[in-house]
Amino acid sequence: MPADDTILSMVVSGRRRDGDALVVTLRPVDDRPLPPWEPGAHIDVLITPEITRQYSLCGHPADSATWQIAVKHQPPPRGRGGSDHVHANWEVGTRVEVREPRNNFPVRDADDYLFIAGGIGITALKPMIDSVEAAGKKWSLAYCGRSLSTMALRDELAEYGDRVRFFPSDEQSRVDLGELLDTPVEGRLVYFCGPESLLEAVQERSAAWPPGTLQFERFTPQTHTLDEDAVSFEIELAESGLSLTVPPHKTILEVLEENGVTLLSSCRAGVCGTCETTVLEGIPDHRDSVLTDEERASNETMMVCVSRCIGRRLVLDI
Amino acid sequence: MTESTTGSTQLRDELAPSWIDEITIESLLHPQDTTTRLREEAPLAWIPALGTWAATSWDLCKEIANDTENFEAVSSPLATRVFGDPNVTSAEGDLHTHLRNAVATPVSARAIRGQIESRMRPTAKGLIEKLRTQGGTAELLVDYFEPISVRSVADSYGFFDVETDTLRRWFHQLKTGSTNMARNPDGSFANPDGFALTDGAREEIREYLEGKAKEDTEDPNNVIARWIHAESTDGQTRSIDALVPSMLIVLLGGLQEPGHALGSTFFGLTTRPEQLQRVIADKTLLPKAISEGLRWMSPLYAGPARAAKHDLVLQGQQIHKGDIMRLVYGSANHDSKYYEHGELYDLDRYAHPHLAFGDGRHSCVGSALGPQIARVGLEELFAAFPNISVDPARPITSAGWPFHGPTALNVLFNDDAR
Ligand SMILES: Cc1cc2nc3c(=O)[nH]c(=O)nc-3n(C[C@H](O)[C@H](O)[C@H](O)COP(=O)(O)OP(=O)(O)OC[C@H]3O[C@@H](n4cnc5c(N)ncnc54)[C@H](O)[C@@H]3O)c2cc1C
Ligand code: HEM
Repeated sequence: MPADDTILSMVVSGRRRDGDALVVTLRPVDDRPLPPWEPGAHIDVLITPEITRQYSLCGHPADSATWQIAVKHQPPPRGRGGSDHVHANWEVGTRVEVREPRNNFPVRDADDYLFIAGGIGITALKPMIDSVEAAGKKWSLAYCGRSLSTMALRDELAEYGDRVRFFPSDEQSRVDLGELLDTPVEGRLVYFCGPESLLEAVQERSAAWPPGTLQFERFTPQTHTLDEDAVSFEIELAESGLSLTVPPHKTILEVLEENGVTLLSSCRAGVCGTCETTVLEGIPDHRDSVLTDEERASNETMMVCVSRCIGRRLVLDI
Repeated sequence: MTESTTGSTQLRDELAPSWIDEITIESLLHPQDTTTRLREEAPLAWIPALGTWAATSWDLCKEIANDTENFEAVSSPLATRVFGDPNVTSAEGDLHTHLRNAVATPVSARAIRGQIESRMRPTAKGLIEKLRTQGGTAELLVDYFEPISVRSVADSYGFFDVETDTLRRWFHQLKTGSTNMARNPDGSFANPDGFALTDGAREEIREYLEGKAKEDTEDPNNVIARWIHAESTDGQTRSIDALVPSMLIVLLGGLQEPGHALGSTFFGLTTRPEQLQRVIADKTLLPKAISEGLRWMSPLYAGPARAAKHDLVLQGQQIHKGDIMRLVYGSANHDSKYYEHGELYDLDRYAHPHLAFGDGRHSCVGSALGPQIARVGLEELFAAFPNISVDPARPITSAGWPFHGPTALNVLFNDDAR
């Protein structure tokens, strides 16, 4: 299975306005089946060479021919241009590159679900709702927004009847979190996605619930480089002649493995010495705690599970 | 980051949020909620129930583990009672190097390479054959993960003549003592009889090692005889009595932890069925799956202890000479500074080194061996039973402090593969 880093070339095959979002259908350029995903997953969209943004998949997991995302417009200067670009420039036929789905918000098994959405957060919850409904589980949704006309995916959700309640704040219809959350219900999980302010209120109100029952995802912008020092660089493999790029969020070892180069590794944290590799050219950025100071200074070997590169390129004896 | 004692300091009691006083040892058996809150509100906190400080963030654990100027290894009264002191975890300087070399050489990255296919894999395959006779159900910890670990670790030290069941008995006997924490107000142990089994095992192990030391010194597998008779180049005396405390640590930690590493990885994968399927279909994903298991549910959750060498101020808090710092690696490994949604097992997580094996001069000597046992064990298990699943009637739970892991892994499988 290819890793999440694989870039997929897609083309916009449909676009429609829905509330304050643009619902976009993407289809692979080569029309090959798309990789599988589970409710709660999102993709990285490479909007421009400088701007990568995350969007939850909001269509049906069973559909391996197309993916759907809903992008809310956050005009500059508040937004930094990602969603603005999508709204201004994406037409049917526009080519778009994305990464494979990642899921930090999977649905756990339960008897009963309470979903709470704030605004565009509905995108992450919609496939979950479809799947628990299909599994015959008990569920309900409270969907809050500024006004009915801004709330995306409203028509599809209305089909679920009174299990879905809409709370548009301009109509003085405010969700009563106390009613929803004051009394914990055994076997029920709470799934939340929405703005920070509402998240805080939900967290506060659900303090009495057993740990782990409240599950949520934030849509706040994310740079993806949790380790700010990390940058990408090239590695060249002397034996095979392969030339590979190591992106900031991956290790040399992971990139080797993804390209079919297997190397024995154990701790993968820079302490055991199993993955020691000979360096032929370039200067490693040693981050292990195995090598002695002299060994480091000689730059003859490195631990490819954690160490990186000072400069742009390393040549390794593998 | 560590400052000297001078300058403004605040008292531990004024600074500490009051809920920390309510933490009990009992509540730490399910540590996640407590450690998450500690990381957010007080990553360095005095925990009255433990009588030690707890460092719960990644940066602090890493810093203290490597700070030899201000902190040194210690043997807690319990470890001294159970294992004896000095031992590899409590020694520093030349004595530490000496003891560490004795226990680390047979399990170094270089030494274990040759054992993976010649010993570990046959052990795993033999155990799989036994599983096949169990009618499609098993409790993986007892039936598979524990025996493959104890056998593989003992084999690395050349203890071929000790039965697997004896190894397990030793380690369970040692464990009863090392979890006998209760103390009287005067500091003495509240249940002194609780050390009887441990003392019995220690005596048996000492006798066994003495016997080994007398055997053939030319036998390359007899690492004990070779070690004791080798010429001393570091000025330290080589005796079995000096080696026993460190060997006991290996026989407790070394025999237990790889089993937990297997358990955490298996448990983690079952929380992500799609990722489990990928790993079963492609065994080259296992090394990464295992290190994510070690990060997600670190077997030595409440890691090692270090003592302050002198009064100092760290993170605005006054630490006194001799205060014990507990490095809670299991918590550091969920730190949101480095791990997005750290509470989730995620094979596709962006890379950042974990601290499950600690760091610095005292980092785990089994960090090369442990993950290989886990890899071979899971490779054979998934190859034999690709449709293995958790028994829905008995979902997996985890518990423990300082050791943490799944309490039982009841699984179902059929062996059509035969
Ligand atoms: C897992 C995930 C799933 C998502 N799914 C969706 C989805 O389905 N639909 C959707 O419309 N959006 C989704 N998002 C948000 C999306 O990725 C973009 O952030 C959004 O489209 C805005 O992009 P932008 O470049 O226009 O604005 P951004 O610059 O990203 O700004 C968006 C908002 O963040 C604030 N902001 C800007 N910079 C920072 C900063 N450094 N720190 C804190 N706040 C800042 C701004 O004030 C603004 O309110 C998701 C985000 C994540 C992480
Ligand atoms: C795979 C599972 C294992 C885990 C998660 C684990 C974890 C740890 C941790 C966290 C430490 C403390 C590190 C520090 O002080 O910073 C440690 C130390 C130690 N471990 Fe392990 N361990 C494992 C397997 C083993 C094995 C297989 C052996 C022996 C063969 C072993 C022997 C030791 C010894 C002797 C020490 C003390 C080292 C010293 O203080 O110098 N461990 N381990």
